Amino acid sequence: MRLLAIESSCDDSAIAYLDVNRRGIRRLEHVVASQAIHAKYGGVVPEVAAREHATTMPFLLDAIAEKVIGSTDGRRLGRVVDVVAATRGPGLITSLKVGLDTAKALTAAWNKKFIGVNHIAGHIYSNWLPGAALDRAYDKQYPLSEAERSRRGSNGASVKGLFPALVLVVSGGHTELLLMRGHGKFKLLGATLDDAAGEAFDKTAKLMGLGYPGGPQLSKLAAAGNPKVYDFPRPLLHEKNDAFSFAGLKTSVRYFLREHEEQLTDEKFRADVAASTEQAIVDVLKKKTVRAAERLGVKTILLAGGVAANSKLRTELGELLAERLPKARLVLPPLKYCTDNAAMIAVAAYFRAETGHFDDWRRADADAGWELGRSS
Amino acid sequence: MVNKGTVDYMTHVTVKTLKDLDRFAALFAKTLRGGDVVGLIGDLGAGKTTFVQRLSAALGIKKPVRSPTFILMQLFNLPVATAKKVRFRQVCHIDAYRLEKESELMAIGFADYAGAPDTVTLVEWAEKMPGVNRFGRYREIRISFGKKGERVFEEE
Repeated sequence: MRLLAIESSCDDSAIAYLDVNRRGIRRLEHVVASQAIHAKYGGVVPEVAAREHATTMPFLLDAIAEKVIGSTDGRRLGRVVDVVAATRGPGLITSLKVGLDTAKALTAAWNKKFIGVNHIAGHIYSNWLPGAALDRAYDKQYPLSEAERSRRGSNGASVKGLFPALVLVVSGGHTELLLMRGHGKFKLLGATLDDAAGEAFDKTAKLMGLGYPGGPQLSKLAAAGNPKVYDFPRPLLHEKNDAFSFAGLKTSVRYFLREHEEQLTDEKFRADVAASTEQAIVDVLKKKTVRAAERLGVKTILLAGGVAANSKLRTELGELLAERLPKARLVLPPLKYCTDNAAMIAVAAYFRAETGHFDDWRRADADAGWELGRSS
Repeated sequence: MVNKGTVDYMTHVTVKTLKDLDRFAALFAKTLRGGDVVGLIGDLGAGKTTFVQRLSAALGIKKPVRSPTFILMQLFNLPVATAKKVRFRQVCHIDAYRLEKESELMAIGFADYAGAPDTVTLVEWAEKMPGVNRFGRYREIRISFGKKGERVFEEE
C-alpha cells in the first residue's frame, strides 16, 4: 500500500510518502517545511503556524514528488499513490485546513481513497516507524514487521502480543494517558488539567532566562545539576486518577526563583534548579504511567510526542517499568519522529486502511478540538 | 470602583482562593457581551488560564479548557440555553505567548473571531499585540501578584 500523508496541525507542515505492507516498510520519504526547501523553491518559511502554510504546501509537494518519482510532475506522483491521508485534528483550525484541503484536492484529482487522521493517534504510531526501540531491542530494518510478529505472539514467550497497551503522550500541547486495545482503538484515561508537560519545561526555562524553545535547553542545563537539591511539587502524583497538572509547578518555581534572585547568576544553582524541575516533571509522568500500567495489566507501554525525546524520561520510565512490571514491554519512538511529522500520519493511516474503513473526503472537516479516545 | 452596569461586579478584586476567583469570574461573565475582546495581562503563573477556566465554567462550558500556548487558539461553544441568555454562542481563547508579530496573530485567524457579534474573545499576553484593541469592544484585565500569594484582578 502506498500512502501520501500531510500534516499541518500547528507550526510545521510536512508531507510523507510511505510504501508499506504487512512484512514491513518498503519505502519512506519525508519532507518538512524548512528554510532549505524555501530557499530552493523561493519564498520565506512562516515563523508560526497558520494560513501562510498555504504558501508552503505547493513547495512541499514539489519536494516530495522529486524524492519519490524524480520530478515535480504531480500526475505521475498520483500514479504511485493508493491512499491520501491528512491530519484532521486536533490542532489550530487555520493550520489544519491548509493540509486537509490540499489532501482533499489531491484525493479528488487523483481519484484515490482518503483517510482523515487524528494527530495524537499519529504521534502514537510514530512507535511503528524505523528506529523505534521495540522490546528494548533495536530492529533497524523492519520495526513494523517486528511489531507485527510480536502481535502474532512469536516474539518472546513472556508476552503475547502488544495489546492492551498504555500510551503516554507528552508534548508542548498535550499530556495524556490512553489505553490502546488494538489498532485504532483508543480510550482516553486522563489528561492535563492545565499546562502540558512540554509547556512546563518551556515556561520554567523562560523563568530562568533560557531562550525558546526552552525544554531542550532546560534539560541540557539539568544534566550538570543535582536533581535532589530542591523539592518542587509533584502535582496530582498521589491522586488516584490519570490526570496531570503542571501549572502549579510553574508558579512554585517562579516563587522559588524570586526568593533566590541573588543566586540566579550562579551556574551550580541554575543547574540544580533545572535538574530538580526536570526531576519533578519526570517523576509525575513515570509514576502515574507505571501505576496506570499496573492497574490495567497492559502488555506494552508506548511513549509518544515531543517530550518523548527527553532522555531522562526515556531512561527512568524504562527503569521503573523494569522494576515494577518486568514482563511489560516498553516501546520508545525514534527521536527524529517525536516532534510533529507526516510519517507518523502515514503509518496511522496505513493501520486504518488495513481495516478497510476509509473516509468520504467530501465530508472530512477539520476538527480543532478532536479528543482521541474520549467517550461520549 | 466603576459600575459596569452590573450591580456586584467590581473592577478591582483581591483573590485569595479559587472560590474568590469563581465569584469574580461569575460576576465578570455577566458583564460579557458578544463582540467583547478581553486582553488578559499578567506574568507567567499569574493565573490567566485559570481565570479562563473558571470563566468558562461560569458560562456552562463543559469541555476542558487548557493552556493554549502551543495550540495558539481554541474555540468553545456555549450550551444553547446559556447562549440564548447571554446572546453570544462561543468563546475564542487565544494565547499570544509564542507570537512575535501582529501579522502572526492575523495569520492564525484572529480577525475571523475577534469582535464577531456571536463571539467573546479572550487573549492571553495581549500586551504583546497592541493592535488587539482595534477589535470589537476591547477590555483589559490585569492580574498581579500580591505579597502572600494572593492575586489582584483589575479591569482598566
